Amino acid sequence: MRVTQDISVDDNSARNHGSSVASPGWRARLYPRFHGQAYPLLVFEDTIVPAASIWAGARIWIAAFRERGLKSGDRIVLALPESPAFLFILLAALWSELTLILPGPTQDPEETMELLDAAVAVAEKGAAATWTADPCGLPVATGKPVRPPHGPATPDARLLLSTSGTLGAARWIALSDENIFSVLDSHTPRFGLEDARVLSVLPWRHAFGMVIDLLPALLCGAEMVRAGCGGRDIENVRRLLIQHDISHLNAVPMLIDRLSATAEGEACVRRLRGGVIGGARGGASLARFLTHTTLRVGYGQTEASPGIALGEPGNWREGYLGRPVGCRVRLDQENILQFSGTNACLGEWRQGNLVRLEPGRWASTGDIVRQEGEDLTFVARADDGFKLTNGRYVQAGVWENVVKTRFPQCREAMLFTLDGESLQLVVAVEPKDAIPSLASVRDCLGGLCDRLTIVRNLALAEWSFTPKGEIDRPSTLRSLAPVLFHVCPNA
Amino acid sequence: MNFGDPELLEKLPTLSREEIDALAFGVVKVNDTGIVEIFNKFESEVASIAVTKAEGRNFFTQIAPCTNNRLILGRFKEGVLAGELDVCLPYTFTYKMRPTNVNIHLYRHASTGTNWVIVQKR
Repeated sequence: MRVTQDISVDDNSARNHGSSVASPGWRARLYPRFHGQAYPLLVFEDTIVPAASIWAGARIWIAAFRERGLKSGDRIVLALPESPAFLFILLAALWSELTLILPGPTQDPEETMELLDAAVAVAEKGAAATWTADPCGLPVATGKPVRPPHGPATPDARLLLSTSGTLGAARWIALSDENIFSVLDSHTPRFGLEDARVLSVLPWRHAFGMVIDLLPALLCGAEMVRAGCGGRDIENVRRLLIQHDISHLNAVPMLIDRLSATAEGEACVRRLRGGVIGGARGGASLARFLTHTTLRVGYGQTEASPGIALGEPGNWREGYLGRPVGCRVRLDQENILQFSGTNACLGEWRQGNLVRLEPGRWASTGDIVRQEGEDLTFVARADDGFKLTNGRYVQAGVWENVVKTRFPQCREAMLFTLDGESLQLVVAVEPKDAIPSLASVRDCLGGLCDRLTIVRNLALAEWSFTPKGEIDRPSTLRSLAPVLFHVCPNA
Repeated sequence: MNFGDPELLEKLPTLSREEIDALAFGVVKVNDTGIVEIFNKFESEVASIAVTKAEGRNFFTQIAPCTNNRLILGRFKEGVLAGELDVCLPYTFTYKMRPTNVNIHLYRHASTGTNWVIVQKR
């Protein structure tokens, strides 16, 4: 088994979670950066907030926390949208060593408070809110008392982030200061954020938006323009890129796909000085376009705080994940990528408790990866597979990748079984009459060749994808129902 | 006279010190390098900075250093260089240790060549 290590990682620090952290803590990072400063400068649609005012707002929240008796490790739900108030509370929580819980917009703050045994929720007006924020972003007590937690405080957990995860159902991942600093310190110097003007489109409640986008920009004293609807309103994103002469953009591939659909948007992306594209996988055509930009691939997951690998600017090809940064990686016997280092999350919230995971462990990403030197290339998700009735496990994603490589006209491919015996392949080809023959596909399926009974075409528009850009297999299968008479419509 | 009054901008250079002090919003007159020439009573009170301490110092770097950025000082410099400045921005100042939402109007009076920073709470 080969282990690849980012050369900037000290082997000892990568193994020992509990070892003393040489890097400065939050207070040493925040005070000189914000106190009385003009930068970082946050530009929202309705106001512009300089560092000094962010600092003043944070101090008022710190005082509010103290008045209510909150102490290090108490958990607080922050259920506000990206706003000045969000920033004030973020800084106040980091300064006060609280554990900050960031639920998604569909996660009820009150339920989140109960689920994660939190003392306080800051939310837009509602039953759950202990506090809400006034138009200046300052605390307004709702009269609701602090909720006495049932379990112990979690002073070693700084963030609790919800993840739909690539490993299954939604989970709450705990990141420590050491986790966050590990990624900030290893990744940020590569971003070139000096005098940067960053357009922020990612949700700050996600690890990518928080640790790769927001915190580096803040701690480098950048100017950050927040897009009101995140990346959903592509016209607004394009307008902001031009209006503010944006230099950096961190985004998911879908946003770049949508931006580059017009000449004006494409020009905006080419003008960028830097940015990380991650959070999902893009296709071959996007990779080709990105080779003409200074954008780089970023790979990780919430469980890795979320940084595992970065590419060099403009170094793109389909599936490319970059090289390990700030951690060590290796492939297990199934070629599933594992990582180890101080970026490996502190633990996970399970059944009312923070379950701390073993420091220095090798954590599985669930991604089947090809490794050439230090370069990592995505092959497939390990959990995209299925078992045949004879017990053989079919790594569907791996074979689909083989098919797409062998037949480049296949934009997408999905291998499945209905009876547990035979295999069917559905592809989206371009041009539409370029469907590979059954015999030619069988030739590249190794020991599974005889099980493949049919190759069908399904127009790309009929395919369903998850928000991360992966094939939504059950939904895509439902699109095939009219031709698969024995598919249950609700399958 | 109101913050949004179009006549205000034209009349500003002709107002007496007392008239400027009587305005219910902040008015700061600065020279082309940003040195404060007039710091009115309203701005002095909300910012907790004595008029005598403000006047003669640089507004952008010494009185309100949080404005020492591209969007405020940068636009001021561009406007002075171009001889034309009329920019309104929503901003969050810190008044008495509290973030406070304001509208900032950067204005250059063309015929007198005087520069004004007008600030009103939102």
